[in-house]
Amino acid sequence: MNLISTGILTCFTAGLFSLIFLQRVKKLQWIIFFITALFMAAVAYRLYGSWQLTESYQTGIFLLTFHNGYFGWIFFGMTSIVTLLIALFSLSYNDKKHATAIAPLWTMLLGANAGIFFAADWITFIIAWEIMGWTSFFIIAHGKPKSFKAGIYYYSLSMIGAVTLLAAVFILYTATGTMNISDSIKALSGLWGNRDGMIYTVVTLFAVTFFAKAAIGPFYMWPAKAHAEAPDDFSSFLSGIMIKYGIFGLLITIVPLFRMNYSGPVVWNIPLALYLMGWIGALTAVSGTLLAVRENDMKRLMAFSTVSNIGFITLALSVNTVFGIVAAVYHTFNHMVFKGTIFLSMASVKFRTGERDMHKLGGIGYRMPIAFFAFLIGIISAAGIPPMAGFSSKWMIFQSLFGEKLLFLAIPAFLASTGAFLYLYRGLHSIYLGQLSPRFSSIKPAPPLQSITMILMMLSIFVVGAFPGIFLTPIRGAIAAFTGETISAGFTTISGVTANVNLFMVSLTFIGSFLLVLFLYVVGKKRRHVEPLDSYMSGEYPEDWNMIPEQYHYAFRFYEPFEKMINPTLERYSFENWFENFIYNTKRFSTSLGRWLYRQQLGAFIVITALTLIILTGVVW
Amino acid sequence: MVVLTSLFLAFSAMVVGLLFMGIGRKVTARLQRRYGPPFWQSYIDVIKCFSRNSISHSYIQDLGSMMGLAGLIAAAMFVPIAGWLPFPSASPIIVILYLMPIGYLGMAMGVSASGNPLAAIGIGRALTLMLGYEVPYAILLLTFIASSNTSSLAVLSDLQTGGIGNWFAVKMPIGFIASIICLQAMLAEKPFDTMIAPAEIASGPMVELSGKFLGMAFLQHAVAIFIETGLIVNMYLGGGATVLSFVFKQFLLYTFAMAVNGIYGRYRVEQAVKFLWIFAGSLAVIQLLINIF
Repeated sequence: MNLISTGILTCFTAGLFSLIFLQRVKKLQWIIFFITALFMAAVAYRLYGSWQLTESYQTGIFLLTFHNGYFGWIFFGMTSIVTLLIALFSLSYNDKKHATAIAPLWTMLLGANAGIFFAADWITFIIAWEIMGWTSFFIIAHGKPKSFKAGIYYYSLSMIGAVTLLAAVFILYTATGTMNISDSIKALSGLWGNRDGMIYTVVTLFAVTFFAKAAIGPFYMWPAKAHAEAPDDFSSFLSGIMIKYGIFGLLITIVPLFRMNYSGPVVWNIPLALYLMGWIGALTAVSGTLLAVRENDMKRLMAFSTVSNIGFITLALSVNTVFGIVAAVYHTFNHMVFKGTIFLSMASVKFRTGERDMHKLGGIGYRMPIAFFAFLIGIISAAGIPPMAGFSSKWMIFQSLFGEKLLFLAIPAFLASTGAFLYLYRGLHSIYLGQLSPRFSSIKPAPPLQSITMILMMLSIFVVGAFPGIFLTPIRGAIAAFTGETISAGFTTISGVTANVNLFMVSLTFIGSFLLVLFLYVVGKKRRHVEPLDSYMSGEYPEDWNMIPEQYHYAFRFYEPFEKMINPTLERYSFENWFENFIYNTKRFSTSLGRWLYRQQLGAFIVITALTLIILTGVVW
Repeated sequence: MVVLTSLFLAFSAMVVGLLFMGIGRKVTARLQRRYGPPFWQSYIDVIKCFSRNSISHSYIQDLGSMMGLAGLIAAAMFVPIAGWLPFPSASPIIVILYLMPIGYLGMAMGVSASGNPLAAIGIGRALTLMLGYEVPYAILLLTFIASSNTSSLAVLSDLQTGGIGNWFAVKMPIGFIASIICLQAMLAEKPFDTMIAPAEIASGPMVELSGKFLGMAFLQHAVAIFIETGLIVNMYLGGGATVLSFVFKQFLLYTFAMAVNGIYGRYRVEQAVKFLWIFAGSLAVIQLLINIF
């Protein structure tokens, strides 16, 4: 049975059906979306093991080919599970008050998702990539003026990416004569030493495409705009899954290219181009962190956090060892889960309160405990603190740098990693802790379906934190199928270059310590509950100076001293300003050119010149 | 058995840390020409705290306080004391450095849940300061990876056996100085005590803590002292042949920090971060360059 194409076709048919016939019944659209997600997860389950499966179709002049490789499958399987969880959340999120019309497009996007991971030739890949681009544009825009602006920004970057992708594939095809993805890369690597200029052109074009998608380097601005303005449940998908297409693209093109037959200049034993990519990744991680620290909008804050994590992944990819690739893929999957959790938790808060600015929230954790714990576990994982899953992958990324002695690249990575504590804590404090505003004093906890989703995701973070083998064993298998090499790792132990860690033991240690402290807590004399506003104020009463809980919540410009320190640097080296200047100058240039062209004298001059030329041509003939 | 030895280590870390705190108060007092409390005052404080009534503003405050102490106790389990560990592990520095934040995060969460803005300001400063000292500290870690290709504390202290000449404090003096500056910041003593700043923000994070919550905060600080000095003893001062010499070296480090604390004023937090990045950071980078080339 042609499972892959059946799955993809089902997504498109279901999407089109609900787009055309179910406009009026939003609830049904979301149910169809959920069923499609479930179906895709089932497809992923059925596809496991049949690594020889190839499906090809002749449509017009194009041959569309899908291939079920272990490497593509693992991405597809992981994204399908996370999508299924998000879909479950969306079922509850899109009630009468909050429903958006994005479900049909999102259903189609699931098909593009499978297409990208299973594409065996470039035509299929480009088609899937394009469908992904435009469906996500309409989803981000979703009919609101502000979102539309963010969507346009996102779509312009996607267009740049699409154009460079086409150009890269065109050059690749002329050079190698094959459209098959892995064959063409293999053939291209055979040209190292002969046609380096051409290869670097292809690499640059691919880099622009995938950097633009994954928000690496100069493209770091779009997640903040698009994630923030997209529908809340879709932000989770955008940050968890869609941004990883760029990483997947890098993994199938640039990374293998530099692993085969490379003979160019090297720095610290890795190819120069990859070393540059490593620095781009490191600087992306740092700038994402610093920008997130300044942010007051919760979705923008987490979008910058995503940028920072993508920087980490790029850094690991640039190490050019199997260990680095495994670390990168592992962190990609961990990020999918924990960032998904964080965004879902924030979506829950927005579902109940309708607020996005953090200083207007505060104290939500007292009313929505499950959303609070989901966020807490998510940020512990995101900060790379044991015993949660994020620690092991971040640790492996550091180990991959140590292994190749890329110590100077590790310094910005440490800066970004520590800076993560700052912005993650800011989110936790400003949204969930501190003073509870009277406006929100009677909000209800998250609805059951949302709670179930968040609990499942929390559990998976915790379990993977103790047993990294759950993710690492399949990843190691996939990378072995992809590169032919593997790394050693146990089910509970991750081994590195400088030390080994048994994460199960670390988790046990933490749980044991917690039990000890719980004992101390129980032994101590009983505590009494006191309202948050009734706290120490140097003998003053806040009511006397008309203080209300909102003002008493310290959240706005939380890190002001630090902001003062970093602002000048960030403003001087802002790519956003650079792009704006570029657009401004282009506009100015084209306007003046246009004015010059529209002058009547010029028109007369052109007509006369043309006539003269025609007459002259006739005379000469 | 493992449980018993771990419990023993946890309690001895608390006991030693509290002892240091008591002596530290005495040292500060003598520097300021006061008589000071007896050195066992900290024990009395903790016992008293646990036996008094306390208030809590929400369940998150209870949970955060517990998580705070638990994180640090868990981190202490990975610090080898004169080569001895409660259960076998490679004692990687990164795990310790990343287990301690769960303690600080718990503490931060607990005091934030009290709703007092002074506590939130204190935590904001503490995290900013953390960014200040973690970066130079990480560079110091890289110096060891460059020279000995290990990040395991046990291996590092083994490498230094056999006399003072083998200590990394002697072999890498520049890095040692940087680590001492970082230690001052990690202990949050002057000039880096902006997060506590009693006269300014009423002890910052501690402002809303009472009874057993304050007791747990004391214990957390005690364990933190034990870990932070223990890290430096293992990294630079040979680790110690016996438990007694290990604790004595820790004591020397802590007393030095308290002496510095007694004579300096307080930096603002951005000044502190700049100081740490510029001085400790560049010293660490110089050491890294020496070790690589």
